[in-house]
Amino acid sequence: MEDAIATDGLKRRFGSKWAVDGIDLRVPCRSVYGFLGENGAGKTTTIRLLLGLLKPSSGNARIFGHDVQRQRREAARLVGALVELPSHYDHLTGRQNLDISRLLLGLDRTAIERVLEVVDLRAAADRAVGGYSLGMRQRLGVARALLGRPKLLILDEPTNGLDPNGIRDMRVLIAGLPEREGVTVLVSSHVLAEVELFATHLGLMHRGKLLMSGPVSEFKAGQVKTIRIDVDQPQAALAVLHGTGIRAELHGSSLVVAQGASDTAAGAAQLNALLVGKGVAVSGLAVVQPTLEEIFVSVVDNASDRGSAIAA
Amino acid sequence: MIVAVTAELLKLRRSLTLLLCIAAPTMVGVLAGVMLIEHKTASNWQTFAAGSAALWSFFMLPMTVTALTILLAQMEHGPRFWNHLLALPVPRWRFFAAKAVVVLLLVAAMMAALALLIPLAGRIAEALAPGRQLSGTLDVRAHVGLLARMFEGSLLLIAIQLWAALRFRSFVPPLVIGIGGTFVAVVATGSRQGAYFPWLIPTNALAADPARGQLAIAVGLWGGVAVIALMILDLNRRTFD
Repeated sequence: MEDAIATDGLKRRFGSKWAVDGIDLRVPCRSVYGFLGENGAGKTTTIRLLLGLLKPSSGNARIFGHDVQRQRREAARLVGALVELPSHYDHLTGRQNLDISRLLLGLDRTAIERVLEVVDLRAAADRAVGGYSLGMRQRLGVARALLGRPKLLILDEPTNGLDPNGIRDMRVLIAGLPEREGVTVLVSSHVLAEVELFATHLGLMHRGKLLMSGPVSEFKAGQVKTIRIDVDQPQAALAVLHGTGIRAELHGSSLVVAQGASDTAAGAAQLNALLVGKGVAVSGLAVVQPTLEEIFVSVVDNASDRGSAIAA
Repeated sequence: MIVAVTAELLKLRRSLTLLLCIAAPTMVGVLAGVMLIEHKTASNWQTFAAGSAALWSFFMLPMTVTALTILLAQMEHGPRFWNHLLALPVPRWRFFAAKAVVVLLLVAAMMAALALLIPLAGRIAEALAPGRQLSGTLDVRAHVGLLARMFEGSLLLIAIQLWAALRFRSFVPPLVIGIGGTFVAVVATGSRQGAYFPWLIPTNALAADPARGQLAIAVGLWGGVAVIALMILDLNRRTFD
């Protein structure tokens, strides 16, 4: 199946700084793609390039096969977007805001009711947007992005500034969109733990480069899991493990042992048996999956090390 | 294009822009009436109408165009709405052309309102101060023609202000241009070259020398058309943050 987004060597420079540095992005159809990276990593610049709001310094971007620069309008017809801040005309109501976009897209008035329903904003639709909470403004932004029944929805930091309830509502909304609206969703965020909850695919941006990209399962497969062991005699247990050549660290009263991805269950059982056999009481034992944040830090550290090595 | 203009007009609902368009000509009408009551204007209809139109073209029109273009541009700049508009599957130039059409429509509407308000102000002043009767009758055709020529001549001024307001995200550059232009117009009133200064061109509709007036108005009209075309070309290629 054709990718919803495909970029080849996409680059964009501002002055002497490469904001986007040769990224080859592939976003599969019907996926929820978490586009991750710290602030200033190049996520928003990439999104602006994908929407044709910026011209690339080199490389190209395609939306469902349409070149964004050469076939901007064909590509734009397939995309709905919420870029950076939720932009609205504050003096108009939510419905009037949507009406302006509806008119420009040449849609029927029923489109407004449909998207208000999707984002659950019908009750507030006739209130001036100036009085909306940030969460409501974000949802109105998503509603506007969905107006033209896009095949691809691009949401730039949609949970920025939201309170926990607003974040949860937005997460539920985004996670349901592929099934409800049949869209592919690209969500940029610097809050990795948040995206981990609903993304099917991930891409990690760092200093303008796409360090990793693929399904979430691939991200986690092959990552080093750890075994956390709670014991009554931490120092003695540490000595036992070191004595048998097992690398372990003391974190408070727990021991943390790094294990490969495939042998964690067996490893945990062996460690338990080893410690109990040496008279150490084990009160807790858990295989810990690395969080996305830990994976991200590890990938970024590796990339930085490689960069330093090349520079040296 | 009609859709883009309609969308622009829809944005005006409940906006300060409409309030400005009502307030500006009304203020000129009120001021003209007060001046008549205070006996500071000539006492026949033609001079009263011309004097009121001069009040408009010399000061209120440039300042109103400055404020109007800034308000219209800030509707997009303020909430960074360009990101949304320019990502739509609509040719980009239409948004800028629609802004120009709407500004011209609003200025034309203010001129039309002024055409009604000036005689109304005269009548009300006469009623409030019975000793200040205006002699003769108002030549409606000449009165409307004068305001129409002022509108034609204002195109260059409108185009320059709109370009500045759309090009800069901050409202300060177009405001400085507007205030500066109006101030220089006061200084340049007496000079020959002043006739072709964009902020002074509309006033040339009142020029004693008809040939000079016609030339200045033509410069304002066609200069305005050219600057609007250049503005659309420039903005079409620009990146908006």
